[in-house]
Amino acid sequence: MEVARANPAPTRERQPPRCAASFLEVRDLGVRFRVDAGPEFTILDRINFDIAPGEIVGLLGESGSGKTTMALSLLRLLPPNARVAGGSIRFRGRDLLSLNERQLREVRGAELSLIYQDSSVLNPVMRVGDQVTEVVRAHHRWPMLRVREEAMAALAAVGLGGSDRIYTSYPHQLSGGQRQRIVIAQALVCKPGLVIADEPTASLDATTAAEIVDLVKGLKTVSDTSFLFITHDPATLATLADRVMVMYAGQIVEDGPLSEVYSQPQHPYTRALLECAPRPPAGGGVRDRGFRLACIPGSPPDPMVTPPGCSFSNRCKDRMEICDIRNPEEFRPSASRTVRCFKYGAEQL
Amino acid sequence: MTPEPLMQVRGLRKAYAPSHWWRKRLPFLALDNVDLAIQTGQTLALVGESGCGKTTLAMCLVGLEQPDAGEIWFEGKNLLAEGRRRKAGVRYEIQLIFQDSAGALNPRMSAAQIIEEPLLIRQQESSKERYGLVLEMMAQVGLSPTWKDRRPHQFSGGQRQRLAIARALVLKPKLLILDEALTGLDLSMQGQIANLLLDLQASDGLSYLYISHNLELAGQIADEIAVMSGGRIVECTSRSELYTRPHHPHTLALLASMPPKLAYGAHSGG
Amino acid sequence: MRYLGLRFLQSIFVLLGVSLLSFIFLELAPGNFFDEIRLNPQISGATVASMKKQYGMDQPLPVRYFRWLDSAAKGKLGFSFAYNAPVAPLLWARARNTLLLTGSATLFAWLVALPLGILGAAKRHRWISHACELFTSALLATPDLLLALGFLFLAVHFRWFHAGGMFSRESAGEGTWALSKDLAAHLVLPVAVLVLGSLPILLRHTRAAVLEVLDSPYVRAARGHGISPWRILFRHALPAAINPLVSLFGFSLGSLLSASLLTEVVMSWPGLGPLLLEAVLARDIYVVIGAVVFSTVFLVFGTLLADFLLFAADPRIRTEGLA
Repeated sequence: MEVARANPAPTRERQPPRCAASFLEVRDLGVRFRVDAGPEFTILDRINFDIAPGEIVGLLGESGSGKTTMALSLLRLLPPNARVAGGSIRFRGRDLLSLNERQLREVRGAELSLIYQDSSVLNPVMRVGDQVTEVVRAHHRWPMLRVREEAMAALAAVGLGGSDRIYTSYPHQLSGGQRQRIVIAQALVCKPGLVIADEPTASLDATTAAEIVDLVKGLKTVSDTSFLFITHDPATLATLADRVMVMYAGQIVEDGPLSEVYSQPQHPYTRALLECAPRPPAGGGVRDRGFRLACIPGSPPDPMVTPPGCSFSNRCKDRMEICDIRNPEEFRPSASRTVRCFKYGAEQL
Repeated sequence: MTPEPLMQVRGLRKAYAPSHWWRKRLPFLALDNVDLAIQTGQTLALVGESGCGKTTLAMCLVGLEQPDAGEIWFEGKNLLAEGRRRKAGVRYEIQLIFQDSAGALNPRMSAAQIIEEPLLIRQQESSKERYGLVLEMMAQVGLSPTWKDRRPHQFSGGQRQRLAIARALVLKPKLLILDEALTGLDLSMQGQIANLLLDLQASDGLSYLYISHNLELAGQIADEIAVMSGGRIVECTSRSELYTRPHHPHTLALLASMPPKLAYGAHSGG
Repeated sequence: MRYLGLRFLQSIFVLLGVSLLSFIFLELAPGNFFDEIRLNPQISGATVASMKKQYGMDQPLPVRYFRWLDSAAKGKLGFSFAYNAPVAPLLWARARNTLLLTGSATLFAWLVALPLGILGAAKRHRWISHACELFTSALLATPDLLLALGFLFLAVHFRWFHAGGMFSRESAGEGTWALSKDLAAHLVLPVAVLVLGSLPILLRHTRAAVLEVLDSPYVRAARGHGISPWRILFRHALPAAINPLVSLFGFSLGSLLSASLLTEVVMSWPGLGPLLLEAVLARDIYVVIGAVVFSTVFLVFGTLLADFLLFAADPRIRTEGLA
């Protein structure tokens, strides 16, 4: 199914508002993994969420929670030993799971793009300007002059514009922060509707990470691009995201507006995670020798072993009997919030 | 009268020459007149952005790099006066832990072998004593002794850091240099490892030099904080002073880039 | 520029060292050109002694070495006892033939190995890749001598190709076109042997280099941007994979004079190989030294060329990184 594309204007002006229907609808998505002809195990379990146009949604999860698999499965970039085991992904009304490879290539990079975690995704022997134009040329048959203009505009939008020097540089000639901006420029140059950012600030130091976060915030005001911002650090999302989803062991355990979730976390994992985030010391004086940081005892579950009950139960402070027996469904304590925890729905059983 | 610091660094300088002589380039000054002091049983945090010279400083302190000028005093002895290779005794007293423990651990050795290796080099114990020490270290860092035959890739990131800590501590050093050792770990794991380090400090009287680009975590575990930029120490004060009366613009920039306090109930400030 | 000058100087040192070592080893080896002559009872000892004196073989080693250096500087590279002529023109005539052979063989080998290697990497799970691997392993295990003899057998038995030599007697005196056709016909067999001999290594390296790049983060990211697979292969992957292949190419160039020795002898190709073999057997020492030094020249400059190609091809070496 060919998608007709209108010629976008060469300058970055605010796009006309799209229809209010959801951009991205994910229903009951499951992904399973197999290691060397062994048994299959579940990496993503019954994922359900929506993203509206212009919304920045944060995905909070630690290693092993499945967040990178989520990003890859939305773009259908899973490795060969993983498969989608059910559910649907609808983007702008199209079911992404039913597209063939050629159709997917049209979507990737142009309508749905991915910002990778570290800048080793830049080709070391190609100039960075060319790497941005490659993305444009993969999706549009424009003359080279126009392509170059678009690339320069994308570089300007991420704060690297104004000189040819960066355009003609190789990745090893740029700093880590600059390289990360190039990766962002690649993701934005075709003006996609949804950008998935997979831990873009993980390999950067604090000041550079803050600049990248400011950059994303700035982009929000000039276009309708939605973001799915994946990170393991709650503090990064604090000033950035409208909504946050918390992932644990392949499930979304909490979903709601950021301010509500951060001020009143409902899932015990969310609460424990937020307490772990370091904060500056309260008062003066010598360090308290007995002070210990907050942490969650135990470790995340092994994905190859699926416990019958809730996967967080062995570390949960509010554990109940039913938590060891059944896996909780999604409960809705209020209109805007979803929690996978029996504390909010046990009475419905 | 303040006690003599465990380690005192004065005027340390290190420049790197250009790598190929057909490239015309000025030498790069990685360390520019660095002064530091670490007190016994305390933690000094060294905070700075990437490229400011923190790792070079760590390498010089541990003896993996030779500075061009300056002095490093450890327990009253001048480490640089003894020539390129330090005496064995001093080498064991200062240990280093890196950020990426997967890269620092030999993938072909089992956990027990990794922890035993420093003991083998020092050659002071019998085989049976070594075995006992290895198991003791594993227990102390929270690794189950049943895992002693596992390879590094079979551990999670947090467990690998514990393994690296066990290896560093098996020789009972006095000073442990942690170069971004908690960076990159999950938040829940960060707390666990940090608590382990604090426990070890309380029980064994270890001193730490905690190097990081993350000011918040450093602020929670350090007694003193030094801020580094462009190869120089631009500010070095006690922890409380840094937050209440910062001086240098770089410190201010660091403090400003820290995310605001997350407002969530049911807990008090650190 | 300074880099070039230093490498050039290094090369000169290598050549001097090789020539000196050759001299010393030949001196240490038992036997002497004149010993053969002495075996003939009709020639008196005095004649042999005077021949020795005439050729300067009675002088001590250092004197002989410097006289040889002097001769090399004059472009003569010493004197051959067996051929009774200066070494250099002798070598050059034969070397031309060798270069023709190995030049064609190298060209063909790379022309075949590159596409096959790239294909083998791009379609790594399909049958063609496994077939390639099987073929490569079989070739690698087969000794060159066996290949040469096998081809010779086929040539003689089936009379498909000429079994040796460079030109047929019949074609002497004919025009250039007929001569060239004849030459080409004679080239087929030895080139085939050489190509098959060097193919496994080239194929494996190409495949490995491309495979490594195809697994890299930047190629996977290019997929994520929606770039088509063929464009990824040629525009993104191959330029990054070129690094080890350039070094290999330099070695190919460097071994142009030395790789074909065995094949030339077995297939009677009038190149440097048979000459060298003869000279070693007859203890015609200046020919041996001359041939060895000649080959070394090629080796050294081949690697120098490889370094420069690498410099030009890989921007990471060419431009400086961030301080």
